[in-house]
Amino acid sequence: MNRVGFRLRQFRQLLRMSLTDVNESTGISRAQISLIENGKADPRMSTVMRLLHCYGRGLADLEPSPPERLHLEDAIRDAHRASARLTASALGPSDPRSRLDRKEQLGQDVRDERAALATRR
Amino acid sequence: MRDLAASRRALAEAERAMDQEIARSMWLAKAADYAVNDAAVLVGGAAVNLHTGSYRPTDIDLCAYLDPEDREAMSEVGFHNTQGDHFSYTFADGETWLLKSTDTQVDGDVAIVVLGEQDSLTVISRDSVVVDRLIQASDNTKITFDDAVRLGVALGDTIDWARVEAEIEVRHSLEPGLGLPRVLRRVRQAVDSSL
Repeated sequence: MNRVGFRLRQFRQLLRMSLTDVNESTGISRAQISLIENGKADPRMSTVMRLLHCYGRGLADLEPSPPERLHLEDAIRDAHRASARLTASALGPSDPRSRLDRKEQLGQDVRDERAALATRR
Repeated sequence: MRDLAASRRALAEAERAMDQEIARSMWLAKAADYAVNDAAVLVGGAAVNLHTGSYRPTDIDLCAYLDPEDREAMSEVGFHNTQGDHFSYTFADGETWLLKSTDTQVDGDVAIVVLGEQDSLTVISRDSVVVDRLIQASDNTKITFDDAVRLGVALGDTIDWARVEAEIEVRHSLEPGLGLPRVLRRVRQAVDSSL
């Protein structure tokens, strides 16, 4: 998926604007906006800027944000908390055997997965 | 970049992580990442387990392109190539883990998990995992629906629902047949009533 188009669509939908709304605000045709969002048109910079302006965004917003960094120990601690929330809500952990049953019903060969699972404590 | 010594070191860490399912899965994925040239991203059930601690994965899913040299390198460090890009690894304590790689781009954002001073693993982000599980729940089976609810409950208020909703809207416009906004609505209702 084209990242610029994807982000532009996200900005529009976060504002709950329709293609018609954006067309009325920017003068860019609905078809053109749709093509840009789907990565099927290579927009001019001025067009991108008009769209960004309409969404109250700047060029920097198109940059992918740096990925979150987490330390394994912290992630494991958070995972234990998450697991405790599930237990407190009476929802148990996900059952791998039921998931394998479902995959089998879908026609997938899960013999290796069952065998591997049986080796784990 | 391929680094077989680092891959073996990661496998040794995975060996040491007995009874620590999350740590073992991360180090095993990292060992594979070191063995191949492409930069691997951990997705699927092991990523869900990293974020929730309550989803026992039946295998480890990576997004990475593997060529014959990569498969050979993985075999060299101790993975058994079962078929195509499917592998297994048996630890000294008798546990066997499966790992498979798909030649696709990760569908969403990523996070970096720092495993140690020299090692980090790229993993699909929390919000993107939520989106992924909502897409799975669009098959309208109880099991995928319940797993999406579990994820929502486990992550609680750490989920950026506005962001998830925006992404679901985008996916819906591309594949309206999945009925994703309805799935999201039902899952959120179930999450809210469980919290």
